[in-house]
Amino acid sequence: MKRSTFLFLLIATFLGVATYLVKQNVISIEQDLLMAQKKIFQLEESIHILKAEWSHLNEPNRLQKLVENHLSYSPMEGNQLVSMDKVPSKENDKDYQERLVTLASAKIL
Amino acid sequence: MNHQPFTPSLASLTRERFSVSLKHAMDVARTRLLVATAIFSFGILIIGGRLFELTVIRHGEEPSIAEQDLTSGLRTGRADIIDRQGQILATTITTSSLYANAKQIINAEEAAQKLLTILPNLNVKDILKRLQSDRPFIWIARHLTPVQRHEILRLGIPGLSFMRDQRRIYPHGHLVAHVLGYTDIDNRGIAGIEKGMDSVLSSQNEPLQLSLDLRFQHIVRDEVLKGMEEFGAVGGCGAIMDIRTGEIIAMSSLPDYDPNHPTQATEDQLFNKVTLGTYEVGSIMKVANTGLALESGVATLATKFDASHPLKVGRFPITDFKGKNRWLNLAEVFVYSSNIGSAKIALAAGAEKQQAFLKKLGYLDPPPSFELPEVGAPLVPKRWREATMITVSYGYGLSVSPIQTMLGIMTLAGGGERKKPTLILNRAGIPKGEQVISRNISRTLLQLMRYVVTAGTSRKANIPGYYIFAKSGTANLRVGRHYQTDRVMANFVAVLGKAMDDPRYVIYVMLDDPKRLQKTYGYNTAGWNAAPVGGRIIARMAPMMGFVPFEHESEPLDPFFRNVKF
Repeated sequence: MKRSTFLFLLIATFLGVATYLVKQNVISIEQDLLMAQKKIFQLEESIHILKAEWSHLNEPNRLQKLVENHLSYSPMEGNQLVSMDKVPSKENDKDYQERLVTLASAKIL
Repeated sequence: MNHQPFTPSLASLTRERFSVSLKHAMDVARTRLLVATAIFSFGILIIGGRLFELTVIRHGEEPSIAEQDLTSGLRTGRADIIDRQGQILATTITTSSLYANAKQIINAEEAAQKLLTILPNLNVKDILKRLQSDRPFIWIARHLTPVQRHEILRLGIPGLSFMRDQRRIYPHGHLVAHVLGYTDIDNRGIAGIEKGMDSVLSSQNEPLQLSLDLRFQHIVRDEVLKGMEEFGAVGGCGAIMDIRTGEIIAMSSLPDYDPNHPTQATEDQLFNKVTLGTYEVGSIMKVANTGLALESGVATLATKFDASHPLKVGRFPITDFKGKNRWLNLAEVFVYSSNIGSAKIALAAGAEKQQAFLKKLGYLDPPPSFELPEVGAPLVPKRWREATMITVSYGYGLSVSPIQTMLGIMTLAGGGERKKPTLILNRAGIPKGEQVISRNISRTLLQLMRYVVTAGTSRKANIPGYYIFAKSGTANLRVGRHYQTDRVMANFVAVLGKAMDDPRYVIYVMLDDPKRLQKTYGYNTAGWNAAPVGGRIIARMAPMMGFVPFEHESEPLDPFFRNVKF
């Protein structure tokens, strides 16, 4: 009888401590979760603003001015497009070199 | 029953008496034990039941925190607007608005001076006066950027606080102004898509995807703006529409405004010329007039009309611009843009057929409603007299909005179907429109418009390698009831095709009052200004749309064209 009482007391203490620890753990995890959610919200908000800013920076008029000032690019022209069978290939093209030269002189390649 | 306390002193009693009283005591003890057991069992049962209820039956608080859906994204209260490539055109951002509790401000002058270093636009006198007052809430500045907010926080002035505020912003500013419109201070749409789609935008969270393509929008705006500068025009507009779906790919009206600051815009800037303005289109109406001749059976391509002498209507003679002064067949009337010939076609068809045909194209009724609230109804003459018949045939006396002109051209040259315009991305596939003119006639009209580009008045819009079909139209501007001799509205409409009989896009350009210049040899007609602007738009958009230029133009399908030279 004495032994079983002792045993149950032991189990009860153990369970009590375990419950306490689990509860504390849950509280701290919940805290973390709330913090994480707050952070997610803040990040989402800043991503949202950054997206708007990115869109603003990609304003075509601005890009065009930058390109005109800093790059030697010009708008693509139709004659720069060729169909696939016009592209010279080494395997099945006898006049490979010749066609490469013609395309290069036409400023396609 | 005589109760006796069960105490060790009982042991001193006689043995017999002891055994009887012991038995009695044991009964008492057992009863007490039973009662205690019952009470404790009941208590444990209650605790167990409560435990069961808490853990199994009732949902704990934890899951609702842990299991909430975070994938839905940020809710801003008003949906974003994006273009067909996904670029953000309009969005709502959370801003910070700065307010102060004047009671807590220690040194108002110092605070005002410090704030001025970050917000240079502040009115110092006004702010200082308000900071020195004793009010607990005063606005200092609204809608600050995160950087400004951060810097103000770093100043560490006690009594300043921030409030969360929502603001609609348009990252592309002027570029998409008339399509998007703008909202009021409470984020309610009051113009453009913001107004037309207000209920959708304020109820859903997913972005609204437009049919507009920012790249082509820029091309149109850029080229029309350059064209206005080049030819001294005071205004202009341009648009691109997909013939098969009715989607508006680009739409720009100039001068325009910044929807981020709509209060600074003038009336002229806010006006959308593409949908709200109605204009006489001049010779562009000849596409419809030629369609009328073919559809009503009044003439075939070979039917000749006498354009050798000016036509008298009342006091006014009708003449041709650079007239050929001879008999012209129907095709020539169109390609050389003869007013006399067009008038004679209309007279041959009669007022009834002319009106019926224009009605079929939608030129006599308000355009079908779509997402923009700013839509102008055509100005139709009240009485349809002979003079009306004649002037309408070459584009005077009937004013329609550019979008309606485009819809008409879509029907006339794009296969004969009438389609509805839309600004919302089409996900459903190509809609079927009502067939109002025959497919063959539509093909013939398209072919005729090709000759206008290769041999007619729109040669400056010809980009080698592309199937461009076009018609230009110049209309004298009217002030009151009188036409001005030297001020014109130059219109140009073009169709871009993948092949000779595969029209894909309609392009419209209008220049308001272009000047006669030396480089245009003193002309201010559309062929010299609006047409080259249209050509430049096509030259830039076609490669981006993946149109591969042809090496040899395919032969016209109609045998009639094989024997004519323009």
